[in-house]
Amino acid sequence: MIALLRNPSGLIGAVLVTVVATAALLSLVWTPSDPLAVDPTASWLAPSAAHLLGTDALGRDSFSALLVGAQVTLGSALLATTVAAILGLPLAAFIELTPSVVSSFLQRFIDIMIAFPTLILAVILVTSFGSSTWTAAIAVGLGASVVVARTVAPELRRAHASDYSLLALAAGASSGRIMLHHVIPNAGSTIIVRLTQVLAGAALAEAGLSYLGFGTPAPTPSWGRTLAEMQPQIMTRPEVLLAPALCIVIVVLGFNLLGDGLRDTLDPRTRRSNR
Amino acid sequence: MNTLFAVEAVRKRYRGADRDALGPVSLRVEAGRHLAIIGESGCGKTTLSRIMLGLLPASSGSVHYRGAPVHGLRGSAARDLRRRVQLVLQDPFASLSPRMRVGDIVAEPLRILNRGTPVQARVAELLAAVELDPAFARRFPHELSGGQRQRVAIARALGPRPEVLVADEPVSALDVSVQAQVLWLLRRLAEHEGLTLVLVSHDLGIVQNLCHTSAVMHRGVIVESGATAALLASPQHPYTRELLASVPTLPQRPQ
Amino acid sequence: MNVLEIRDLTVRIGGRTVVDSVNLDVGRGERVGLLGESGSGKSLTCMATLGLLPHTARATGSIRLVGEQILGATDRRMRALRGGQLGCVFQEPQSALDPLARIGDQLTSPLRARARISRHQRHELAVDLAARVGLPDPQHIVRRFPHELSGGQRQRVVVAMATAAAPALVLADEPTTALDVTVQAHILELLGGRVTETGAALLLVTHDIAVAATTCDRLVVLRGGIVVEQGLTGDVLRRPAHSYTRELVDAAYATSYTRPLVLETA
Repeated sequence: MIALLRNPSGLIGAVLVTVVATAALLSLVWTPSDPLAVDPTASWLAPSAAHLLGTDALGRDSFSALLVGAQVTLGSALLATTVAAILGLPLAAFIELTPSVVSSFLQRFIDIMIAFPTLILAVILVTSFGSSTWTAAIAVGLGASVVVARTVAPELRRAHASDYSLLALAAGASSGRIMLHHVIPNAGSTIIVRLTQVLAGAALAEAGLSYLGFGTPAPTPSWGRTLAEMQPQIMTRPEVLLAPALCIVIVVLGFNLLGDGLRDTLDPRTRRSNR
Repeated sequence: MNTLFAVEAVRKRYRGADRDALGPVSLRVEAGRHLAIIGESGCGKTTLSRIMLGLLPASSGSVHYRGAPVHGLRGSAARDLRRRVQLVLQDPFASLSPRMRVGDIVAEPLRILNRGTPVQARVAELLAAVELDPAFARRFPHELSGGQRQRVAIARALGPRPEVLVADEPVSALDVSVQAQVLWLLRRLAEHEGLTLVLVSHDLGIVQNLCHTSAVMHRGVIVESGATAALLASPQHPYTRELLASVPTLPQRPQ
Repeated sequence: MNVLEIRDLTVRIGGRTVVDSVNLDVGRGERVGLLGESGSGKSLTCMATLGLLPHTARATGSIRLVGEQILGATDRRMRALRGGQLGCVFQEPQSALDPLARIGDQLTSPLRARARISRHQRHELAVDLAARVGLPDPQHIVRRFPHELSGGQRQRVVVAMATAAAPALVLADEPTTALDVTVQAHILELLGGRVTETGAALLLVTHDIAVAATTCDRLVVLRGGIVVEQGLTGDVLRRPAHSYTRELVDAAYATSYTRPLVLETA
C-alpha cells in the first residue's frame, strides 16, 4: 500500500479516485442543495456562494448534480467491471484448461464477440429492457468480459506452462492448487491492470451512453447527461460544460494511473526491495 | 539389486508430429547407483525424464517405480510416489515462482505431501542443509543469485525426504565456480540422505563427476549404456565417440 | 603493431563502474581468450570495442584498432569497421541474421559494402564463401532463408560473414554457448581455421575455460570489471597467480570432462 503511494502514477491515480469516491460517498448523506429541486426563477445562474458552479436550465444546482453523478459513474463502473471479471476470468481459465479443440472453438467465439461493438450491445439491451444505469453497466460489462478473457488467457497459459507450475505438479499439487497458488498470482498483475482499464472504460462508456440518452434516465444526475443538457450553451457559455467534462477526465485518468501504479508495485521484481 | 525405476519400451509421439520424439526406450534405475541420461538438445532426454516422473503420458510402454506403475496414480498412491521422487530443473530463474517467498517455495511440497510436519522448522533445516542462511526464507527469488536459487530448488526437492532426485541439467545455467559448489552439494546430499540421482545432462564433465552409470541418447533412443567410467573410456557407438571427441578439454593437470 | 590495444578502459552505467581500467592487447594473428563469469564485464568490454555500448553507458580510456582510435568514433565509422577490419560473431546466430534476406545476400553483404559487385559475381562469391565454411550444397543453400538452416549452419554463415572481408580482428562473444557440444566442436574448428586462413586475430569472449583453452594462445581473466590475470594459456591453467583464477581453474577441473588417459579395449 505504502509502495503504491510511493509510485508517482499510483499516487496520482489513488488521489484522483479518492476524490471521486469521496464525492460519491459525501453525496449519499449531504449535498449543498437538493440536486433535483427545480427552480424556474433561478435558471442559468452564474457561480456564486449559494451555487458553487451555478445552475442549469431548470435552476438545479450544478455542483450538487456533479456530486451525485459521481455515485452513478462509480457504481456503474464497479458493476460493469464485476460483471466483466465474473464472466471473463473463469472464461479465460476455462480456455486455458480445456483440450485444444474446445478452447480453439471458444477462442473464435470470443473473437466474434469482441468484433461486436459494446455500444451497440448496450443500445440493444437498453431498448429491450428499458433505459437504466444498471442495464447499460451490465451491457458494458458483458462487452468487456470477452476482452478480459482474451487478454488474460495467454497470461494464464504462460504461468501454467512455467517451470514452477511443473515443479508444483511434481510436488503433487492438484490443478486447482496450481491455479490458485501459481497461475493466478503470476498472472495477477495483468489481471489487475486489465480490470482497472475496464473500470476506466466503463466509466467512460456510462458517460457516453448517458450522453446519447441510452444510459442513466432523467432526472437522476449523471455526468454524461449533464454534459448533454449543458450542450446548448456551448456557444454562449462554454465554461459550464467544463465541469462535467473534467469530472469524466478525472475518473478515467484516475483509474488508468492507479492501474499502472498497481502493476509496478504488485510485482516483487519491480518493487524496490526493503532490505 | 533394488530396482527403483523400470522403464519398458516407452515411446512418445507428440500430437501432430510425424515421428516418435522418444523410443522405444528401456532402462532401469537401481537404488544407490546414480544414473546419467546423456544427450544433446532434442534427443528426447527431457521427455523421458518427464514420462518417468509420470508428468507426461507415454504413447506406449510402461514405467514402474518399485513395481507400481507411475501413470494413472490417484490419491495416496500418487502422493507416495511424489514423496519418493522429486525434481530439480535447469533454470533457477524460471523454476521458482517470482511471487512466492523462498520459505513458501521450499515449504510447498511439505504442505502438500507431508501434512502435519512443523513446516517452519523443517524449512530452516532444509535451507541449512543446502548451506543457505535460514533468514533467506523471507526473501523473494529475484533477490538471490543463480547459485542461491538453485540451492533453494534443491532444498525444496529434499523436503519430502525423497529416494530419487531427478535433476534436469541442474548446473548448466550456472557460472563455473558455482557449478562446482552445487555439484559438491548434490554429491554430499546424495550420500547423506541416501538419495539416488537421475541426472539429465549434456555435460560429460558433470556426469563423470557424479554418476555411476550412464545412458547415451541420440534421436530418441538409447544408443549406449553402462558403467560411466567404462563407457567414457571405451565408447562403442559412433555417436558416443563423436560426442566424446567434441567435448573441449583442459590440458592434463600436472600432479 | 598490435591489432587491438585497449588502454584504461572504464565503463560506467548509472554511477556503477562495470569495467574498471582494463588494459588488453591482441597482436597480429594472435588468439586471445577473454574469460569471465556473469557480471565480470567481459561482454561490455566486447561491446565497447564494437561501439555497441548501451546509451546509458559512459566509457573512458582508449581503444585502438590497427592504430585507429575507435572509442567515441561515429556510428557511421563503426558501421564501416564492423564487417570490415572488425568481424563479429555473437552467441545467437538466429538474431545475427536478417530473417528476410537470403543466405547468399547476407554472406556477400560485407563485400558489397566495399566494392561494386555484379549480380553474377555476387552469386559466385556467395557459393564460394558457403563452400569455404562447410555449408552443405552451397549452390542451393545460398538461395535459402535463415529459418531453413540449423543453428550450427546459421553460425557457419555468421562466421563466413565475419571473415569475408579479411578483417584484422574477429571478435567472438560466446559464439558456441547456444549450440550443442558436437556442433560447438565444428564451429570452433571452423572459426580457428578461418582466422588462420585470413590472417586475422581472434578475441574470444567466453565463460567456458575449456573452450578458451582449446582455442586461444593467451588468456585474460576478468572479474568484477577488473583484469585479475593474463598470460599464456598453459601458464594460466598450470600456475594461476591470482586466487580467483586458481578458484576458477580448480572449479573447471572439478566440473569438466577429462579424457581417460588409457583407452581400454573392450
